Amino acid sequence: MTDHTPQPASTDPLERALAALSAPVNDDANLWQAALASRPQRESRVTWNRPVSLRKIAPYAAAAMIVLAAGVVLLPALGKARARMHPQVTSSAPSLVAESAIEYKMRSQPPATSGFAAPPPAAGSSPAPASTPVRQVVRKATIDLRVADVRSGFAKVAIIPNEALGEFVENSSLTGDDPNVRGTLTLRVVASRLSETLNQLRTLGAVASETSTGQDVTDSIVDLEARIRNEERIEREILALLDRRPDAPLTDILSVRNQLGEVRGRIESLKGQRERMGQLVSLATVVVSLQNDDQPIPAKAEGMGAYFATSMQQAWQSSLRTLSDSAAYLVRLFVGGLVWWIALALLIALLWRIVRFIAGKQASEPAPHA
Amino acid sequence: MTATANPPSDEQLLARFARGDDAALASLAQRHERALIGLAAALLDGQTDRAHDAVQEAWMKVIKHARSFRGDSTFRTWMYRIVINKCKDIRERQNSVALTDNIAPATDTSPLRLVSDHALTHDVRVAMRSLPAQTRLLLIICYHQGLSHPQAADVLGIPVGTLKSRLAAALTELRSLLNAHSTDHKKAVTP
Repeated sequence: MTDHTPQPASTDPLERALAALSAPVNDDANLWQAALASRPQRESRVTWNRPVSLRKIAPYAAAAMIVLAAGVVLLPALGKARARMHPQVTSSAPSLVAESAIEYKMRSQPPATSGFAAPPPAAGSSPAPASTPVRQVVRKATIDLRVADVRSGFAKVAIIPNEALGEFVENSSLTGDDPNVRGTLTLRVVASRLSETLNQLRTLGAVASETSTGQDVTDSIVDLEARIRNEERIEREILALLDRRPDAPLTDILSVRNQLGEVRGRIESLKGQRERMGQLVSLATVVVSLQNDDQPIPAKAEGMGAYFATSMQQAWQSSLRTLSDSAAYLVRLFVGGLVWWIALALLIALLWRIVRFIAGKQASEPAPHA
Repeated sequence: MTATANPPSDEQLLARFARGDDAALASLAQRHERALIGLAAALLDGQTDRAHDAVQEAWMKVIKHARSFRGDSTFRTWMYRIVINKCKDIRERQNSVALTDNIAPATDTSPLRLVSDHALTHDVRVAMRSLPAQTRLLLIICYHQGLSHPQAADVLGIPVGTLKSRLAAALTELRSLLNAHSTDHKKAVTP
């Protein structure tokens, strides 16, 4: 049954003329009979499309399942094999665990405008944080560089921190006169970028000394959390007490309020410590010391030609280093993740086939041309 | 409880035809074929023979795809879309379209008004040839007998509000064309 509501006859001559253009004809053409007669032999009424589509999809689905299963089985095995090949890595497992935890933490959080990762989970949100503690490590590195030009090196070091990630130069100093000028900078960089930052620093000059330390502060943070929870519980109890005894003597109420103020002060103090600890964990400290190279400066001693040759040599070495780093990165990216690339390609192919299949079904109901 | 004797809907008839009942297709044709030929004739500048071709090809397509009709739109909308597509294909195949005066008569009019309307319809047909294809299609569909604005919007695949605004603009354009080219009917077309 049709659901249309014909428009009423218009009094506008133009609208009547427009309606007359497409007015129904009076002849019985019976075109449907001609169309029916020209119909090819009726196809079989029973069509079974679903198994066909399944047949098309099944190989892709099976391949994807195999690849995923292989990935699940092989990747842990590869990790164990790598651990056996590098026992020193295993020996320093706590720091690695801590670093991976920090990396995970940094990845899971958007770059904070203050540059600090959030403190460990709040007391209310995780009732039992001590059961699965995430290792929290404060990392610090010191590097002593010998550079040809301290002022230039100083400027280069100062731009290493990425402010977009919340990194910054905590302090810096440039003392002495040429040629005995010394530069010292303290950088705060995202913990996961510590090794990358050290690599960048090593390219600036000769490394005279380098130290790296890590301090596990997990226990301190857990302790702080516990103390905060305890103080917050006391606060709630005091508030409940005040609610239950509104008619208590004024002196008692004032006394309780004083205690409440003290508790709140302690809570704020503890939260501040926790935040500070979180900052220390999320941002590693790098102390950079810059001194002039002990050797005479070739540029001054031998002229522009030697200076140019030295600069070119350094540039060449730097470019080779960059090239090898890039190649290693690409190999890691493509070979290391080969299984996942294949899985991704199969998944995309599968989705493409599904989309084409659906589009093919929709094409059977034509839409008007644009 | 008394059984209601409502006639079957278009979709029910199509489903019956898909199951092998050719009489259902006859019922569908009885409901829609004349209107479809009129629409096709309008879209093809009054060429009734071409309009017959378009509608016949549309029926063939309906016959072919009857079983795959999913009911996302009404049968009427679907059929109109097919006819529009067929007319467009035919127009594209033609290098030039001859203008004929094969105009369906207006109903319920006095003889004097009939003559006047016939001449105006002729001018409208001439003027519409100057309009863009989309505008021409919009005017024809909107004033096609029996189609409400929501149904016309459904056929064209645009929102009703868009259809109304485009229709107003199209009418203005058509009136200006008629006023420019036809002084005889200037008074008749000026609102």
